Amino acid sequence: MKKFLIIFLIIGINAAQDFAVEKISGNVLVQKGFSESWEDVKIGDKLSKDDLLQTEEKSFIQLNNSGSRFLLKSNSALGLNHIKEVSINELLLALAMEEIRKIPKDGKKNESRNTAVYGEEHKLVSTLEIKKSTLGQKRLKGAKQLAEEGFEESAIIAAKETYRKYPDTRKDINNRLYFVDLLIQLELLEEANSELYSLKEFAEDDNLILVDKKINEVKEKLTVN
Amino acid sequence: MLFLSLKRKITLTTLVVIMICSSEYIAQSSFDFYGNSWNNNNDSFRLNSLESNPLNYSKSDDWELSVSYNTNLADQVTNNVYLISLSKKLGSHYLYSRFTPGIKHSFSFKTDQDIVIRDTVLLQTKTKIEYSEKFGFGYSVDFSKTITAGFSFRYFGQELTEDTPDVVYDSVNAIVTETITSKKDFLKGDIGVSISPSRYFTFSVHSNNLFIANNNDKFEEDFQIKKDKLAVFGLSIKPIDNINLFGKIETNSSFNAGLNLNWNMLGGTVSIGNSIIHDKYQSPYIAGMIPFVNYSNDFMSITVTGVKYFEERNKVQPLSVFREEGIHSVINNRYSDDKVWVNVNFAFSLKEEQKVKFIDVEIKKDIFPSLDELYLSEAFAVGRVVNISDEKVTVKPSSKISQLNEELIYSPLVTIQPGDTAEVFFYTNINKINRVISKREISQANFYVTVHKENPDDAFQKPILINQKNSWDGNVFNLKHFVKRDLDYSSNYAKQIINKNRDSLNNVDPLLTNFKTVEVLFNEYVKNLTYVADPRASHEWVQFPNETIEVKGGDCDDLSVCFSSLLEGIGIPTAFVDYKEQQGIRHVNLLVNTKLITSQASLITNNDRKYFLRTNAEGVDEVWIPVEMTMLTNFKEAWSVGAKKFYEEAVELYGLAKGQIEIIDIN
Repeated sequence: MKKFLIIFLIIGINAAQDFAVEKISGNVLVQKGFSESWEDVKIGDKLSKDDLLQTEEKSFIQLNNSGSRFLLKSNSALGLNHIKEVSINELLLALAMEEIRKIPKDGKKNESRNTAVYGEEHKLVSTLEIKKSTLGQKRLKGAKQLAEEGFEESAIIAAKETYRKYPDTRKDINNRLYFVDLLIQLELLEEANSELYSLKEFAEDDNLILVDKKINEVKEKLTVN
Repeated sequence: MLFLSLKRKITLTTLVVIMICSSEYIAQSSFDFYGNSWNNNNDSFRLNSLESNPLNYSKSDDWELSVSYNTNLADQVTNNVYLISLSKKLGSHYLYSRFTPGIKHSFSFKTDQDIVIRDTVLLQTKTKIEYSEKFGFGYSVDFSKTITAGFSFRYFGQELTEDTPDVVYDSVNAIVTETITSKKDFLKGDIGVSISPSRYFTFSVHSNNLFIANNNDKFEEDFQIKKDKLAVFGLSIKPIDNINLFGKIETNSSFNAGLNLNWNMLGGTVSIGNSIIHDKYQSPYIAGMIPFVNYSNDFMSITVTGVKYFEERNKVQPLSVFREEGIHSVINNRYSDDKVWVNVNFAFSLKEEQKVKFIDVEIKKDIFPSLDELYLSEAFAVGRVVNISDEKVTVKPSSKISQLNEELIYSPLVTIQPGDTAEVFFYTNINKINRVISKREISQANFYVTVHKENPDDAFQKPILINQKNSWDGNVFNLKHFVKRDLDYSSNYAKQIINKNRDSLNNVDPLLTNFKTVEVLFNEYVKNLTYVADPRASHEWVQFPNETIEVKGGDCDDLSVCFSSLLEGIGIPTAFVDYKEQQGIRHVNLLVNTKLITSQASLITNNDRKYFLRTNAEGVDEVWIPVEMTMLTNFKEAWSVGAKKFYEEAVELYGLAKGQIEIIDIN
């Protein structure tokens, strides 16, 4: 098993995909690999696929990857690993991950093995404040730009990941419908249908009508197919 | 022509037998009336023979009582109880005893003498010789399903009665006849072995007159039964289930050969058969034949048999000829007349009917003592069992592995329809004492199937590999057995570390208690640990948590098992991440449940790729963090390295979706 670590590092270096920073405007930050901090990005910096970029208001960054350019607009965030062609099969595999995330029923026995509590039980209350983050919204914008640049499949994966990790973004019906349209465009109708029913629980009034309309559209297409 | 005439004779005689009018004795010393009358479809009854079966071979499985009766229709109709026998099977040992009032043969000779005193007077005198077998005893043992060996003893009596003239000189001379009787008993012992490599083939060899013990009484040597020492070789072949071909040959060149046919009918099996004999002491070359009819069911067996000779019997012979030739067998000798013989043999078994039997047992898993719980839910062996009864039966399977189990381990009941074959699954339990096995060994697994009674209907034995206590079958799923083995030890060890760091942990926000506890435990745990590759390349080897802590090191399996056990011991859920073998490299690390929900993930990290969301039973996403257990520096690094590997391989390269990576929850 020791072999693993050595080979793992070698694979990491070989598989590294460098992005050169060509242009920058305003504040652009990068979270390198799996670090906890954000750093400023400067022109000429080399970024890797493990890095996550985010732009502030009125900022952008242009990257060059072996001649291919990608522009990340303001108030956006994007993991550079998403700037790649993804096949339909890979997209389906990524969507299938949702089921794998479920802990098997037997896995719910998480209770402590201690069975007795002595003395007065104090209900401990957290005093921590969870800061509101705009990273989720920025990631969705980044995902949209991926789609606009022709990386539709990758955009859907990035959006799905965002919806899961930033639950607040799930309520943005218009954004979600954008990605549903991408699924329809890729003729992944079952997946689009599933996504529509999932977002229906957040939809109200006009949005609900919109979602229902879309559901019917997908159903018709499914019937035809 | 000889064949045709012989065939006609056989046919005619067979008809006679079926009409219950049969013949008499045969001469060959090792032959008898029952020796060939197997009912091949139901051979669990013994043959009432020690003549042709001195090794006492039997497939009987319990008590058996038999009574044999004969009717001699030769010159004068006589009826006899031929023999009464009692036998008992005790495990692989089989005991047989018989009382034989019907095995006897008398010879009378006129020995009139002219006595001259004043005149010549013809004095009528006679000599009578009687031979009899009084009782017999047999013992055999099954060394295996294929080999049986045994011996038998038979006790014989010989009685010679002679009239001797005697002149009494008195006032009136007179001649009186005095009868002088002399006796000499002897004991005859023989041995033999039978080998059946399959149910279609049996080979046997046994002695005749191997051991003779006489008493010291005086008895004229010429009148004693001849006791030539012989070896007898037998062969029985069943080309198909309903046909049996058999033959025996003695070292003095006598032989017999025959054919039996069987049909299932009347709730049992009917057999008919016939055999021919060549006897060195008789003529013609084929001296006679022994036809039989047998009916057997599960409780009884009836045999009608007899002998028909092809030459007229020697009715009258001078005493001098008898003295010279003698006899070799009480029941079969050349002086016996052709007779009609009817012999009915009743036999019944007191043992309950066998309802099921094994066809085969396949060992599905070698035994890994560390995986003890596994064998309660997954069968280690599967047997194929056939219902040989005519009713639906419920089978209670049980097993006992000699090195692991002190008593029978019962497995779930199986119902089998009549005539059907079913798979029977065998589970086992390894008690704590037996888990400590220091080396790999081959043990014997004994399998039993029982229907409604205490004694099994059938048993089967197969060797099974018992691995050493640290052996692992290579399935990451089964590593959880190592985690749970001594959870109390792990729990105590973890609590000691927590107590040592009580001050810092007490100040932690309740939301972060689990996360901080994991961090503190990890940092303390790895302080003195070293990564050590598994030196045992031949088979997987995993240390139990206490061993890893004691030896202060291990490989990724050992380190993951140990840390998982520490966390599980204090109620923090963990899961193995199985990076399945690719290009010869396999890896295991851990996922740990922080018990935080998605929105709380930012409390522990600013990097949203360092955790993995898993949906719990309530449908809530929980934050799990990957930890690389071979990164023995500090928790932060172990988490970062674990997260990077997990994100890249499990998420980004779809390893989880492709099945190349599997998450295995401990609980």
